[in-house]
Amino acid sequence: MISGVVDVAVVGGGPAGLAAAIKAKESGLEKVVIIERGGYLGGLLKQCIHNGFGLFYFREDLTGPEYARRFIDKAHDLGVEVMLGSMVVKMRPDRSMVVSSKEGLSCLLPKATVLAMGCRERSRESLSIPGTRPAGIFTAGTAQRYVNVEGFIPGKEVVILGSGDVGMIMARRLTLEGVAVRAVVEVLPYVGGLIRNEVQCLHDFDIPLWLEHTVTAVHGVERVEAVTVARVDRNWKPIAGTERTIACDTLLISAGLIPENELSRLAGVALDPVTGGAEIDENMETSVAGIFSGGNCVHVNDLVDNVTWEGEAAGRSAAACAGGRKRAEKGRIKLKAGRNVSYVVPQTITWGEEATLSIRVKEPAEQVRLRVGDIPVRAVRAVKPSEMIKFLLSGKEWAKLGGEIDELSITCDSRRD
Amino acid sequence: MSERLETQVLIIGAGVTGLMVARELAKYRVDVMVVDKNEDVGMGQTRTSHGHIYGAGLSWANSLVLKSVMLPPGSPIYDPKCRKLQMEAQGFREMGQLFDELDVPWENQRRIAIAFDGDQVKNLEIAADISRQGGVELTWLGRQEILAREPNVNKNVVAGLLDEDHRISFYPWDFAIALAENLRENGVRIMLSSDVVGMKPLSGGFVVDTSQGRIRAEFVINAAGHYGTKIAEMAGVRDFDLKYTYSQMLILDKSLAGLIKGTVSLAPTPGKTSTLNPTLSGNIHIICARYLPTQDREATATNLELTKESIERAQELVPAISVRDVIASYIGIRVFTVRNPEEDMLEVSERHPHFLNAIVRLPGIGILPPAARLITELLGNQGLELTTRPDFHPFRKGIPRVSKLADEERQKLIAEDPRYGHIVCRCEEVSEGEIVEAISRGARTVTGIKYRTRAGMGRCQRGFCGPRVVEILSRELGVPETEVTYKGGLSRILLHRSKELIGGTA
Repeated sequence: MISGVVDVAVVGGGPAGLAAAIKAKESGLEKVVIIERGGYLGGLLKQCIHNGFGLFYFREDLTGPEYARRFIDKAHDLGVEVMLGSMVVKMRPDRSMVVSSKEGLSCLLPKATVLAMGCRERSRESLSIPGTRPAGIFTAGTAQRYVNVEGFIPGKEVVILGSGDVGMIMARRLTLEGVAVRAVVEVLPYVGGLIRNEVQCLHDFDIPLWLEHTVTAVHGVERVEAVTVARVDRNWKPIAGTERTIACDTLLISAGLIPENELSRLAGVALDPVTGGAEIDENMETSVAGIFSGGNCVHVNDLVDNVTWEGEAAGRSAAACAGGRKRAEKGRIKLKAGRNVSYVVPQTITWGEEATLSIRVKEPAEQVRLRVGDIPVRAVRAVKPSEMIKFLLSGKEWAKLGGEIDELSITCDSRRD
Repeated sequence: MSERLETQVLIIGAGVTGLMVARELAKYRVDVMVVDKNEDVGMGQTRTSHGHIYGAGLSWANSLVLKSVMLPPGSPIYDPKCRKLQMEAQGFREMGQLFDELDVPWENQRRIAIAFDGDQVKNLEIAADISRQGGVELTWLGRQEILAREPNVNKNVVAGLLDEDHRISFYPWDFAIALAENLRENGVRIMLSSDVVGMKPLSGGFVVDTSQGRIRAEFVINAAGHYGTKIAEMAGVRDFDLKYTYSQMLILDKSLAGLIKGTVSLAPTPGKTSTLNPTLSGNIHIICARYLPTQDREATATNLELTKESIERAQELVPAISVRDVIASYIGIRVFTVRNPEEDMLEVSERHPHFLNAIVRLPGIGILPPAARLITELLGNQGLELTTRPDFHPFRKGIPRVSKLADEERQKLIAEDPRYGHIVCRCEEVSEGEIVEAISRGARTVTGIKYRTRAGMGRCQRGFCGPRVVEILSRELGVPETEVTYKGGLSRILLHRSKELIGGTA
């Protein structure tokens, strides 16, 4: 059991946490610890047995477990210490934390901490889907774990609500297992996940995709017997008279992910109400000095490659902090989501410092230009909310922006205007 | 099962009413058996009960105004002779000690009822008047005094009534589970998943057929709640009717803990309530509901319109609440007797001297101590011999909850059994040790684990702990995972093994 002073404690052993721990250790620190709740490292990658991971980071097409393996091996080789089956149950603003495991409770006093708890799925209840409460309703990720890790098939006839990536991947996965996927139902006029998944998981397997539809009722007392699906109007309101009932024994929910930040709250970290994650600066430092955060617990990414990069940035910064570096308090600029931008991460940056900005748009649009303040930074052919956009703010832009700013707006406007 | 069982008193229904009657009888040398069609205790009206007890004061007055809509026109809202009200007052004085004996967590709760306009102020005046008649003088609050106590309440509030006590908050299923555990220790047999399918009156008793076998009983107590008419019908002694109402409740994420410090409700209105309750676990419980009539005792499907209505009415009280905070919703079905909607049925049937009805309408839990004594007394009157049992054991100890323990105690518990160190449910911080202990105390389903430990009751609603709980149930019960059920019966969770549907082997 590890306790006492450590250089960097990383909470969560998924892709963000592994990347953070590796970078922290590579910077020469003595004691870097990953605290992982589950029984293995790699997080949700372990149940993502499909390919498509690492296309950007490694320029290779890997499965989830293969992608994870590279980082797990590296962490072990570097001597990162790992606490498995261990959950942080208390965390304070001074970074001290209490960890529970079968070995007992231990108190850690990290010089710097990286929060990398990932995200959870929206449940049937958080979506307020009405109807009965039978067995047979799963989030797509839970079903994925059952199928790919535990070796069970939830049911034979499935309807999937939401076209998030996990949902579409599960539509294909279950079809390969002999399950009849009756429909993927999406409230928006376009899929919630990546286009490549729409093509490779739905169209290639002839799985019906019902856009602008939603589930309006669940039927069945003991086990799901059917769901009612209806067309929705522009306000996502079901249109009376369009309901039809689909017989099925299982409903999967793939309708969004929520960053996990209970510990962040305990530690007093300020959260962004739009992303649901910590507000961070260009060094991934949160509002609480010495606590950093990266990956899906900051904002939900679409690619693991980005999660890894964010974890690495958080790990490097945490290592510097453990080595004594303090955050610059001068020249802080608040970034604001402007026209057609739903959020910007990081939420604050330091004047003149190079920073990677991640944004999502509110509405799909074509031929757009992204601006920081008045300065155009990037022209994009097509943008949609499901695809995150990243760009660098470097010395060149800072020179144009000039000094004396305390707030900058990020906007996404049509190039034709 | 064709085993023939015998008992002196057979209680049909393992909700809190049936179990409390059983507890009272267990104090005597009486052979008692409880049967219930559900896989667990407290799965009918108990489960969806609000979990509040009040014998006087603001909540009591509010309840009387609320329920006045069920009364025949022209009846007084408050009738001091009403047996139910006397029992409520008596029960309220006893419940704290009973909960302590059974290790059921509870707390006193403050309540503030608020008004936004003159009409609502008048309703507050009615509540204050009723409360005074019941012996409690409530305190009037002005806008600033309300906001000082509840800063997140709608700033347009104009007046309020305050009651610092007279309201106990607890979880009704905790009470049912604790009663059942203690009853078993006192030798009371509780047969679950035992649906009563037939009944034949005999001289000196009944023969009752259940899905688990035939039971010969000298006395039958009908504590079947919603199904009270069905049971009486089967026994050939039905001389009453029941009506049902349903209402929908919401549970909010505990990240909102502290948004309200005590219960906040709108000025009482007949047939309609807007109430926000902080719960023992930090979630806000929204009871912004109406009594909607239904004929269907199983109509527990939630409704989107009711969710919207609840949220809108909750926002009138506390604007910071949003539908995004909802982590669970459910329907509660309430039963009222047609004969006298004001009263409970605690009586010997006029049609059979050995058949008793114990059908309680809400608010019902608070009346149970005196109600159970009354039923016992009636049994005595009907010839059941009641000799005190000196070895009755009133105490029960709950499952240790690691999240509630001080670090030293928690450390000690983990040292004794390391499974208490392994957290399975992250949202509610529930350990494997607690889950295993719940199974050893009778949990057989995912729902049974949920009500005993809170695993799966948090914001992710079993997303993470679901598979772990199924695995632990499978391991501890020695059944394959594909046989583990969500809530008994046909509610299996995993229908197939991998590759089974495509002719392969996993």
